[in-house]
Amino acid sequence: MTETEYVKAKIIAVTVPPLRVVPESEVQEETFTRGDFEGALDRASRPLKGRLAHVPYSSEDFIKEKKEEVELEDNQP
Amino acid sequence: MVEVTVAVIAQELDVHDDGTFDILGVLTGLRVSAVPYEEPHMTLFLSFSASPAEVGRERRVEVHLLDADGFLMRKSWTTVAVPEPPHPGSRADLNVGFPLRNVPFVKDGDYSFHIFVGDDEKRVVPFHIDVEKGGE
Repeated sequence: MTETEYVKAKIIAVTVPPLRVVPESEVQEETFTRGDFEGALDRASRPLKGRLAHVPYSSEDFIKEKKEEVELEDNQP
Repeated sequence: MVEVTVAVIAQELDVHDDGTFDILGVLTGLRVSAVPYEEPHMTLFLSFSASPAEVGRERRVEVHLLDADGFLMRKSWTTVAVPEPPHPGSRADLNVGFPLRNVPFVKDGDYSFHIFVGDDEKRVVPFHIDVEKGGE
């Protein structure tokens, strides 16, 4: 293993990539609230609800529907 | 391809006449006396590295602030142009000070700044808001 011989030198300049400080006037922004998102979610789920309107929304609706079906069957001659 | 090699939030950027600069007050969160709190001024310092093929092209840089539940609180954007590289054929580097004004923190907890170049997420900078009990 050879020992590296360093020469005596000094730094003349440093290399710095250009810096661009973006002025506020060049930044555009939008601010949102949780309400905006909940509204967007509701809008997105509306078509789904429309397409699946026949699906009971809750277990109570499901039980009610099943009871009605049983009653219909019982009442048939 | 443009890459983000450094992304930190600082209180200030001090630029010198010779083109060098200091990033002052690097921070990863704030302890505040009450929420909702709006931070009037912070700087997001970004270093970009681009391939020689992208020199001269403009790139849209977006910063999204998300809360702990992933809700988008703020979207800010600007465009940057890829500069000439120091040597022909080498990667082009660019430092950017992106101002963050009136940043909304509606409650305490975790937040994150997501940095996009074009449609691609390149970096995430976590941020935390603590509320000092009895700070009011």
